[in-house]
Amino acid sequence: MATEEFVSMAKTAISARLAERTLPVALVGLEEQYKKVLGLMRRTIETGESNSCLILGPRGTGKTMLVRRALQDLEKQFSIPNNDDYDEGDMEVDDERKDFMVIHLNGLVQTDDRMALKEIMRQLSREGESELGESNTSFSDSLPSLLTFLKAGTKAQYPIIFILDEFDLFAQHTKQSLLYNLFDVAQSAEWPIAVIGVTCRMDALELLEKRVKSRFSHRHYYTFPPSDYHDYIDICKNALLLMPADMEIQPDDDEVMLVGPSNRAAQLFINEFNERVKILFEDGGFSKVVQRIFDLMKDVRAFYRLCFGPVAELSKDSPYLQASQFYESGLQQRVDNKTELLKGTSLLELSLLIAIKHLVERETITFNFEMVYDEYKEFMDMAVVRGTSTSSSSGSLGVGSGGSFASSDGVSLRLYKKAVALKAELLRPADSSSKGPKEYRMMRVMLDASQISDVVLKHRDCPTIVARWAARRA
Amino acid sequence: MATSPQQQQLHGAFPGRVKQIDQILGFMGKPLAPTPPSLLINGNSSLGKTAVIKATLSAMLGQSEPERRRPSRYAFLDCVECHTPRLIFEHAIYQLRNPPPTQEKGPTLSSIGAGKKEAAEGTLTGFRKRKRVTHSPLEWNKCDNVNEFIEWCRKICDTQDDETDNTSSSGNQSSQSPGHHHYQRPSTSSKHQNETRYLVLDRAERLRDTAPTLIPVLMRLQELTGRNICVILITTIVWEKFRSKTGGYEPIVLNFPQYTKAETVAILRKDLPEDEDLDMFMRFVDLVYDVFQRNCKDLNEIRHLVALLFPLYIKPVKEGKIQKHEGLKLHRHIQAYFVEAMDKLYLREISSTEWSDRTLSAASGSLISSGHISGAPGSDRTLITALDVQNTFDLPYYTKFLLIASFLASYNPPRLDMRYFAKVSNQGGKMTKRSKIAAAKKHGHDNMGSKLRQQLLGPKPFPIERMLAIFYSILDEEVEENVNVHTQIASLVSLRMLQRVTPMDKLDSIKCKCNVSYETIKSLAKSTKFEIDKYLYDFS
Repeated sequence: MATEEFVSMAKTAISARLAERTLPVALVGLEEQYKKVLGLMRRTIETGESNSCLILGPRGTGKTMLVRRALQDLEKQFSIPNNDDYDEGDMEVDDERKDFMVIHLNGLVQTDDRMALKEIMRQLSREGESELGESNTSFSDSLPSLLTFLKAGTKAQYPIIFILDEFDLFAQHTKQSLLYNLFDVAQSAEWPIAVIGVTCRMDALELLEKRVKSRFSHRHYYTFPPSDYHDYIDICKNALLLMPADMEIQPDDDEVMLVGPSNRAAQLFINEFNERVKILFEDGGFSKVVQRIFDLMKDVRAFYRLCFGPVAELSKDSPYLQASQFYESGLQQRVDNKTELLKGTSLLELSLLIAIKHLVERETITFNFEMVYDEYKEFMDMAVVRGTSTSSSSGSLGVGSGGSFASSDGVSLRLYKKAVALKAELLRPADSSSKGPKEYRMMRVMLDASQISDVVLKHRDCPTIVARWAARRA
Repeated sequence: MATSPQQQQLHGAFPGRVKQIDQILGFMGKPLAPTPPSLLINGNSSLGKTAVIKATLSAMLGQSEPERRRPSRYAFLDCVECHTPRLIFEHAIYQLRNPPPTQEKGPTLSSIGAGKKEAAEGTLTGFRKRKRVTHSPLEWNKCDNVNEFIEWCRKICDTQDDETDNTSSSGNQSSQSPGHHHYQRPSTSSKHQNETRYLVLDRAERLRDTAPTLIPVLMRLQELTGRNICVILITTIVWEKFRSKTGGYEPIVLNFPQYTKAETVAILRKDLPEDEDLDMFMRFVDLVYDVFQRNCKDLNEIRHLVALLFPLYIKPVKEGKIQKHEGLKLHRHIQAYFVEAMDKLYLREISSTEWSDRTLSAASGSLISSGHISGAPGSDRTLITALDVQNTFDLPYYTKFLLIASFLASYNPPRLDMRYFAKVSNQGGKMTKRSKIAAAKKHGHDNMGSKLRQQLLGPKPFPIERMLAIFYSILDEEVEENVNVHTQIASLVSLRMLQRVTPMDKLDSIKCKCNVSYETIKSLAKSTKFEIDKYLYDFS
């Protein structure tokens, strides 16, 4: 019943959702905002009314998803052949008449107004309005021609929807001329356009200049992370549940397979798979993992990240998601990476870190290599003295065969330098312009004392005497 | 999951990385399947991060049939090499539009965890080779900004394999203007999702220096292009250090843990020199690991040491002095070299070829002269290291005293100058040991744990006049008139033994710092028969 094809189709569908290539099946907790945004765009298209609005919300709360979904629905409504699961708006559309155009801009990509303008022209000309001159290269040339193009329009012209992702970055362009002109066109109602800004900065409105702000309609919609745990669970569940559509319109599969009896088999597989997902969400350990993510950040993407691993492991032999897979990947995404990195250090590096920890505990916040090495030497002297009285510990500490543990300060210095320069930037220079020998440069440590003791506990071959030294309070 | 032959081959090539390889393969999935937008490979240096990714990609995405040379499915960039966004974009475009170099498979699979430099060189040479070898390479495309890069990515992903031939011929016109490139009509072929492209950025920590918005863009390249692109970052630095102010899409973090002893040994096993005894080699590897692991866990360093020291280890066996099975004797023989190797080689005070040349010749020399092998190898050899050079560095007599005086001025507190250096004082001059200790108790050792001693804090700037006063005080005889002390000071400054802290255009009240280590000063003092320890305050 769980054939290779079914599993790979399920895998493809779910990981596309996790990677946010396809939209989630249902909106949870955003219905209100969705209706408003959709209504706004629809009015622009149907009645030629110009509009502008801002969608604000923290990262990963579904702002872009909202817009994408609205566009998708509009496209369906206005009977435009939807040629891609995520229509970027710049896909080739046949000469067929269409009712509106979408221009996508992203503040990360179009880093200045000139580039943004070029991109607008490009997307417009792709959409068939090729009378826009391609010869205009400079900003001062192309802006007027775009404006005259926009202003010359009548209500009968196509409405244009501008989507400005990372809106706050556009506000940082010099003079905000793009925003000014877009809002101006929207306000003066010469051409039906809708300007929709999407940003994660809650104070994005404050970034606008006065003249820009006054032309903005001051409509804003907020998206928030799911406020209650059940909503969060619902979103997570939606991502993992299989839909009938997932199994049928898979691009990489021949359609022949899914007609007739195999359709029924697919349905059976879907039912079984979904049943297992529901069981999964009732599993105690699993909900603990999810609860933890929810308590920490309420970020849906954090859960998605967790899911990639288990979904990738689906195969013919284990076609359903299992709770135990999530424990492991939950742990993996949660570990403190600094501690992980430090677990692989050699004993000498670890000892230097412990020496640093002791210094910091004694409120010597900035230190240099000589101080650290002196602290380390003190410990070594002590260890040797104690080693002579109790011979066993010196054996564990001292010399395996030939190589000395108390190595020369040259070796330590090199390791220390490595810690400064390469090793995950654990140390940072305390003052910017220090010249002179490296041993004496003052540093700060970028770790917490508890992190260091944590490393000592987890370190694989740390002798007890060193561990005791680390645990000792100053 | 059924393991494919490629997978098994990868597992064999990278001991101790089976889990990571499986994870990466899981994320990659089928060529057409969607992937996570971005991965971050994180781990200490020389843990095989780069090698594993490279080998995995070339094994899974490499070409099976050599005659059909389709464009590469992945681009591998080193962020040290490509240090501006523009270079990153152009190299990525070039690599993704051209077939991958054919000769690359050999080195990546055979030399596991090869040094970074080697790897970087590998890509460089591979790159040059490719430029020459490919029959009709597409020309280098200009790409200035993110906008164009995204455009290119879409174009590259939408290009079908069977059309590459005519793209390469017609590429000249279309590629000049990426903005106005006309897409092929979405025929039946566009219904097929395009295969995933991979963009690998090695040493990604350098990306932070290029442009502030570059990392967020790369993290969500998949969303921005709407195509199947996976960005893989390889770095030694934790992700926290990459975050930008406003945040962005977070990658999936994949950690490469440190190798265990068994894994390290298994990797080193692949280094077995030709026609050597495996047992003996493994015994030696074991020994080296045990000796050096406390100080150094870096696989590359251990490999380096093994390669250098193994000839020495088997030398007596080759000469018939010791039998193969006499482990203890061999151990004793090699032990002396270990200490030296740690001190000299790890610090790279001399180059490894130099070291092995000298050691081998010296060892044979001593063998010939003395006729027995148990003698300590370090006794009659003269290895001049950087440190030795510093110690034997000879200066004129007065200059030595100048340097000593400036060392004292840098490390002693000025308030005690009276006690140490005043020639006519109440109790007959210089401080006795007892009063020194008393002074130390009074001033130095407070509850700061004596970590703020000048010795540890480093040299302090001093006015030249103070140093000269000390200089005249510690010299017993009168300085001859013609010795131009100031010229000597200037030459010390140009030798970087003194460091001038006041700006060059300020001529009066010059301040300097002494830049010389305690060891050097001690040896200088010894050569002039000056008891420096008597004059130093709070030193150990």
